[in-house]
Amino acid sequence: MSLSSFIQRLFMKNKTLRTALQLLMFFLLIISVPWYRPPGTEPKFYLGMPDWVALALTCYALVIFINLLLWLRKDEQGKPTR
Amino acid sequence: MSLSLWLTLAYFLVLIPLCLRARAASQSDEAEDHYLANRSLGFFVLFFTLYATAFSGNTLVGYSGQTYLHGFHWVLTVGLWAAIAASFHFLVPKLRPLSVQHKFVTPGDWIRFRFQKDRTVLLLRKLLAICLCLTMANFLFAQLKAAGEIMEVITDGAISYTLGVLVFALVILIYDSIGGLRAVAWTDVFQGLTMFTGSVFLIVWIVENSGGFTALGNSVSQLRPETVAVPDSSMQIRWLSTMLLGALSVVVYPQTLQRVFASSNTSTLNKSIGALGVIGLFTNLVVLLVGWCAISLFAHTEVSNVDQVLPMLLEQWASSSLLNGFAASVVLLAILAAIMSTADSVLLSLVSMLRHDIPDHSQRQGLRQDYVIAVLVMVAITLCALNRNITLWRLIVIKLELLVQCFPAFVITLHLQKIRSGAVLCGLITGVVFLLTAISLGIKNLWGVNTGLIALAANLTVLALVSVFQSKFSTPHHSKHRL
Repeated sequence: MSLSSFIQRLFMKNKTLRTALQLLMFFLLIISVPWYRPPGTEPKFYLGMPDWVALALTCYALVIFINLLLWLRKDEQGKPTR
Repeated sequence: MSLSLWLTLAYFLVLIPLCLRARAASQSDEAEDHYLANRSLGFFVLFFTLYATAFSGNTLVGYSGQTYLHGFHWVLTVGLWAAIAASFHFLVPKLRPLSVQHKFVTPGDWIRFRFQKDRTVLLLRKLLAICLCLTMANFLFAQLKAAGEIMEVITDGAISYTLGVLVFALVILIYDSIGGLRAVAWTDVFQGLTMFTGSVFLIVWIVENSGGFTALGNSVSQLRPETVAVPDSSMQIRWLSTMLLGALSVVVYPQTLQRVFASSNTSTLNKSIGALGVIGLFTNLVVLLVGWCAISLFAHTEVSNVDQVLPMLLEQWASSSLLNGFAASVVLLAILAAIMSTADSVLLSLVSMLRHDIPDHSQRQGLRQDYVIAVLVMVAITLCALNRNITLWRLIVIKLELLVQCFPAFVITLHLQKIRSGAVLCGLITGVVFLLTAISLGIKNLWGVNTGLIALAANLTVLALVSVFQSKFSTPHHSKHRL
């Protein structure tokens, strides 16, 4: 079974998983902004970037990955029309 | 950089056969064929046309300038893209089947279909079309401005800003009118490939020139120390509100909506949108790195206009060696490609809305009037683009602020079936009046929140109140269709 057909089967069977992943995307977008940290805090550095920048970029990469998974699923709301 | 000029000329020449081939492939003079390529776009073409259309001159030139100014804080631009990519889940799965079933060609066709029995459908469609057209005109204006800025820099003023704007406007007008969406999409494939190749060249050079990611980050920390610490609350609010504004507005771009309509099938569309998110993330990261790289490169140079940061960086890169000169020229071509691919799509959508969404009734056969409208629109916007006294980022913000007022009409009404056109119309008027008042008073944000979002809140509040009122006091839908 190819990876894409495995993903399709997984998503077809589990609507809750799709909804959970959609919510996870929005959660990641919210936590990418460091509102939960005191402004002015001196950060640690990863790859030359402050930790809050590295965390934001990681969140955005994860959002795009989840987004890709969700779009790769077979559209079950309507049959392909053409 | 004469090599850049030669490459640009060669690029224009490549567009000619593509355009003529698209014209030959055209099956009729119907709106569906001209504006949607007869709903025939497959994965390869659709993916690249979405990519090339989504990434404009504003993105590459404007965002890199802002990153140069704001250092680490401008990581929000990647967040803006992630939010935009996620927002398509609100719209595409529901709108796509309807668009195929009812043969939508323009955004106004959704309004015609959704509110077909409502009294105010005509007024709502016209007002929405005017808002979208103003947004598109702004977008086209920004593309021409970006093209003029770049041409002036790369030729050291030999080609003036004015001449650059005029040449680009003419080329776009010609191939847009001749080949319609088919020509636009086919040239977008070429333009998208150029953009991707240019981005790869650029990222390799940046990493090499800066001594790696860590060294690049360290230099930004030294030269923009104020952007290192966790940002203050006003910056965080700006960050969140920019992501929200992008997510709620870009999803209703008319040119994107028309690509949703033009896909050959739903599965192809889904794959294209998923892949668009990935390539968009890559391109945004490149833009971010360009801005950070420019901070150290121009640490001792006065930069009077931040929109010229990227062209200046390319000039410096090109002067370092012959090979780098070629690579820089490809990147430059990529930027011009981004500008052209967005401008052509915007012009096509703009003309389609002026032709079919603003008049009471639209004739879907014959394209003579469409050509006349295209010429008039391009002349008017080109004349406006000769004004240089506004930054590209400000143009992007104004565009998104107006566009987001159309979000309820396209997305909320897609999910909530009981809403009627009167409520959407009242909300839209409220939002637009609020926004225009804020712009005329020079208010860009309130409590850190973008005025476009506050105008949207007012828009949604009025929509909700009128909906409640209508559901309590009004009679059921009229039976007569009011298209």
